[in-house]
Amino acid sequence: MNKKFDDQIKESLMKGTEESTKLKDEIWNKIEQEIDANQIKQKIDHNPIGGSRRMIKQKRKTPRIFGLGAVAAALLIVFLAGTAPGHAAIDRVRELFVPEKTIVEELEGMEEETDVNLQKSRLGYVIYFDEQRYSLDSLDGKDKIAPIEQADYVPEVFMEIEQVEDKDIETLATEIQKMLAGEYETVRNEGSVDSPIESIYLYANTGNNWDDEVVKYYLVDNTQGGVFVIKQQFFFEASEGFGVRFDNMLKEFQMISLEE
Amino acid sequence: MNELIKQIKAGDREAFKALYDQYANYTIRVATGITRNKMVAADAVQETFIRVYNNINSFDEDKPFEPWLYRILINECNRILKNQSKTIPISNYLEEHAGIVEEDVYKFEEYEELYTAVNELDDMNRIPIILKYLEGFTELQIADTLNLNVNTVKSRLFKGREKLKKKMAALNERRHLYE
Repeated sequence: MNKKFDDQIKESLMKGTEESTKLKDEIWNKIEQEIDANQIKQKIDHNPIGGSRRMIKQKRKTPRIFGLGAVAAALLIVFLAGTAPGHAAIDRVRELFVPEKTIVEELEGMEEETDVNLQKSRLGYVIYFDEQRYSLDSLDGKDKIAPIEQADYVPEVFMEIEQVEDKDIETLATEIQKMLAGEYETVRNEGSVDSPIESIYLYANTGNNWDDEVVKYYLVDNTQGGVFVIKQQFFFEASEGFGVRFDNMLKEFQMISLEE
Repeated sequence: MNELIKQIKAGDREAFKALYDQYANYTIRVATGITRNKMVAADAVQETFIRVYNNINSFDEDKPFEPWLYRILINECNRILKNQSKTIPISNYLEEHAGIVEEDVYKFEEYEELYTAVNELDDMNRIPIILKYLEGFTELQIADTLNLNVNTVKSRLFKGREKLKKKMAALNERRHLYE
């Protein structure tokens, strides 16, 4: 590609967007107004006597299922007895409830440090993810973790977690495999796996083109006669990106039982 | 940059203004490129900087700032566009924002066609091109911002430029036919 054409693209974009930059001061004024309004509101809501220089927390656009403050307030935490697979051992309590930590993820052969935040679900587990990139919504008994930024030209990317209480893991694996066989070109039941989580693992895709849909199911025995069903969906090209990030989240997945 | 971030974390509003001044023009341009509308872009930039201000304490100073900023910006652009498509019939929106249509068909001589051609690209090609040519991002920075593999970015840039060349060639050919 010749440099002249590159220069033309740049110039066309610069000229095409020039007019907008006149809004710079107007935008700043609105930013200042909103920050001031938020700070005044925060003082009234939380600190009526004296002001604080602490930065305000933004009101979330997507409701967090269980805020960090509430996690800290949950003082009585009773873990299920024993060291059943996936369950938090008592000696991991402190680590488990660190509200934020940094993990090292390996993506496409490169190590990347990611700051992750504790999320605690009413379904009875905790998980960590980067709140700058992902949000969690809870609907109809299912939790859905999805990237905040979703492209509209590829299959939707998400990881969905639900708990099925009335079926054993083998029965459910067979049912899901049958369901996948009717919808996807490739379906594999990989059987029991230890990583990223001790589970039965099923894989399916609609093909090997970059934007073909990929789904992965991890079925985790909840040791109470039921199963945590964890479904990941992304597209083929994102296997080494979103796929790895979701798997890394599952490494931090811990079942818990709470008394509040 | 790190010093500026530290000052903002300490609550220094002047430092935040300095940060805004440093990035305002290019974020407005990029948002305009993405949303194809300067008023929507203004909203996205406003929300982006408010988010940056509110979340600056969670920003890791060991990481580059720009991919973080532009990830938020692109997200805000998409969020606003998505919300508008859900909630506001376009006719109502245009009535409420009288003047936008005329302003947005701003003419700029021979580069108008190329700008239009960029706007007509699919997002997967258009957004990497906007980040590369408007902001001057490297392929690695684009990959980091869009959470993509570098080779994917290279491929999308290449294909995007190829499509633009074809569009421009077709336009020129048509023009010669009528000359």
